[in-house]
Amino acid sequence: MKRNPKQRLKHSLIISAIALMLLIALTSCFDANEIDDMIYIVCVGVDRGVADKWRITLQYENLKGSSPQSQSGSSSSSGDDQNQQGKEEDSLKEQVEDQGNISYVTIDAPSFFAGIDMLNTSISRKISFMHLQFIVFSQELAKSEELSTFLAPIMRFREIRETVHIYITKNKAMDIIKANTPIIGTALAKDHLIWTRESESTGFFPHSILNNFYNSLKSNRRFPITAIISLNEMKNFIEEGKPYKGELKSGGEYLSGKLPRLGLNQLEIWGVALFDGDIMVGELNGKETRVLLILRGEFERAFVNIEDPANPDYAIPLDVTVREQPKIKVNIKNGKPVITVDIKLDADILAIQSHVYYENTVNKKVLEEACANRMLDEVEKLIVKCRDLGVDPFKFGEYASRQFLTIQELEEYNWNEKFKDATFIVNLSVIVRRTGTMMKSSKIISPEGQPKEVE
Amino acid sequence: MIKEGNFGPSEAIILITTTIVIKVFFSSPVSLFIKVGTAGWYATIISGLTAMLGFTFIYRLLKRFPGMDLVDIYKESFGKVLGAVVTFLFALYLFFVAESNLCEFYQTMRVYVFPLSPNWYISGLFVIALFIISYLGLESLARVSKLLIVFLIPGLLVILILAWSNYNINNMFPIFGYGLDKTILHGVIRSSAYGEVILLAVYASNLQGTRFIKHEGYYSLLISTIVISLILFTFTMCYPYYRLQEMVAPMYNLTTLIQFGRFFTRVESIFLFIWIVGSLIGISLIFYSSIWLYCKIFNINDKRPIILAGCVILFLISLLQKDIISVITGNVSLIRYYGFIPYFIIPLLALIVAAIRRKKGDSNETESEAKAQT
Repeated sequence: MKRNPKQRLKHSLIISAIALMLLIALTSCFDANEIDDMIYIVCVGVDRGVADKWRITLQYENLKGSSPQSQSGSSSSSGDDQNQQGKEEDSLKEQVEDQGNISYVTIDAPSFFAGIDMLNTSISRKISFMHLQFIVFSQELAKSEELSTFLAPIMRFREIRETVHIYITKNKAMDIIKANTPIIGTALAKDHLIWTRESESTGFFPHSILNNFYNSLKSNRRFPITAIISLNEMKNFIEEGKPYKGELKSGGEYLSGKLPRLGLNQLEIWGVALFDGDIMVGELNGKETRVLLILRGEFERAFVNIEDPANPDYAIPLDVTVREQPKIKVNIKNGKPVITVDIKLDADILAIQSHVYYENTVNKKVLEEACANRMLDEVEKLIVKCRDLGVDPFKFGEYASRQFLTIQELEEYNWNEKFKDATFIVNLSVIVRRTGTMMKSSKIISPEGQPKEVE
Repeated sequence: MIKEGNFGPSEAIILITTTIVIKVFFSSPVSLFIKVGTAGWYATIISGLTAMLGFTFIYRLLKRFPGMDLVDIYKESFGKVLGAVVTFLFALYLFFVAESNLCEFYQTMRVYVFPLSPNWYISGLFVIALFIISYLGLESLARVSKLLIVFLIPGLLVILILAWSNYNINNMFPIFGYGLDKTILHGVIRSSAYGEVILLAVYASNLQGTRFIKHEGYYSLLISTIVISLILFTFTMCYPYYRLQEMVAPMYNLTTLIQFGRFFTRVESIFLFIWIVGSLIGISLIFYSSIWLYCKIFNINDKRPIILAGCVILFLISLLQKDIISVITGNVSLIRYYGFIPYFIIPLLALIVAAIRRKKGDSNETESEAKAQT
């Protein structure tokens, strides 16, 4: 149908009016936020406050580029201990001098959101949490009932993603933030992102994200856990002394912050904090953390040291991976849970210090059994430890929920209480799949020209 | 005057399916999870089956009055005055649904995406787009929806697949939720979630005949049931039931959890596209249907002034909503729990009344329709 010129003009005018309206409406120029109008908080530390209920520390990249700048720490607080805090601040300034493009601020505030508003008056950029990487709480808070009063409300906050990591620290959260500077490169967020992925290759700490922690906090069938981040004061590293003659260690026996090491980065993410509801009730070392991750189906791979079955003074490091996710069955017998766990692991030989020929079929079996027994022992010890603490960080309760038809029945059973009476049957098998780049370990020849026997 | 034109069965199925499915992106699933817990994914299958039963009545009604649309059928069945009143009330109801969906849309947008934008801004832009679509007519809406479905379905599938690392089969248990009785009860009542299938009867005269409408109706309901059940299934796998009961829009929360390595994160933008475009198609169809019914009752041929007035009223009423709570627990809840009455009970009543009053359509129409179909 052809339109007359008058109609065409009318249509053109209408379309032009709509286009003009959209043009004006969609530009959002007058209140737009440019990228450098904001500061993007990367880490948040939460302690108990002195001048107010919470002490909140925010760390952010200050957009000054990667060149070292003058110090950027600042702190605002009120109270009788200001002088003392001033001294602390001076020492702190020394510590963060090298942070360069990273700054932090601390404030005592009645709530998280009040704190943000209070800080926004002293920072010339709008605070944004869109790129937040982790929130660290002090152990003092975690052991009181106050953690959930802080954490649960921020789940509503759209800027904080549920994939943010949650840590507990035995130090002050503020001190963790002060020490949190990238040793390699300058990007704070990238540093943390790469760091957390080490969980997958070491198993010494879990991926404890906000979503999982919050879900567990409200659960009637599992208990929350978080990774622990600590300041290592390097006191466990003894530079001079007698050579170590004790029993063979796996490397995971240490608690968080106690690794015998020396180096630039004071921080270490290591181990697990166990919670009963919102109260921290215990801590796992690195070795126990690996076992926990295996049982939770979150373990990927790790180098595991086991005693050489033929020469207990020597270690055989194995590259352990999971063959399949653990099979867990929970039956309720006479009102008490009976938990059957079936774990299947694969291992690659990384080294044989004793040079024993474990690569042949018979010895390989011996090695597999030794590894399985060692792991089984660790699994059983951990389950007993957690049962005695009255917490189920393994998520066995989720498997137990299969035994109930309705939510009312599950809630009535009260898994969190019944777990204390649970009995366990654990089966664990290990298969050595590969032997590294060698098929046989020949013995080393002694100065006398004879094959050297290991002691 | 808007020329309505005709569109094929595939466009009709896409249009109805999109309008039905879009609800799952908002707060509807949450109220279902509150009532039935972990059983939400199959409670919706019960709703879908109930809607199919309800649609059978609508189909029977159309078969009884071949070649006629819902307005004419109501007039025939209930009598001219009562029929017009019932249709007018139904038009008002559809307008109320469009308004509630619009409010839910902009309130949810403000919660998750545009917290600083005022209500009038989000609602206003949406209504402008809705006006343009309605102004161009039903056929344009149908064609656009067929074009966009090519992006909507793959986008939705990408989100559901990418979220797999967050799925936990144990979240499905206890399998009966708060009890099978409650699941069946709420499943049946919430059949209104699929009620938009009645719009096929509203536009019956623009479609290819009763037999086609039958196929379009059942296919729309089948596809919608499968898609909604699949989405609710993934929600249940991803979050424990007590978490699902807390959220405003679980679909958005789900997309924020997606993380593959360091680079593939923040895929909400894909979802936002699906969310906005899907909502636009769905709300436009419902709004346009209410205008259509209104014009039909009063024999108004030119719908354009009514569309303009309708858009202004829709915009203004949407701004009257006090808060998101009153929208979700008030309007949406009301629609979900009593919506089956206008969608399925009134057509059933019309069928019964027509049978009692021995009212029937023109038999010549039946014959000509049968010939056209063959």
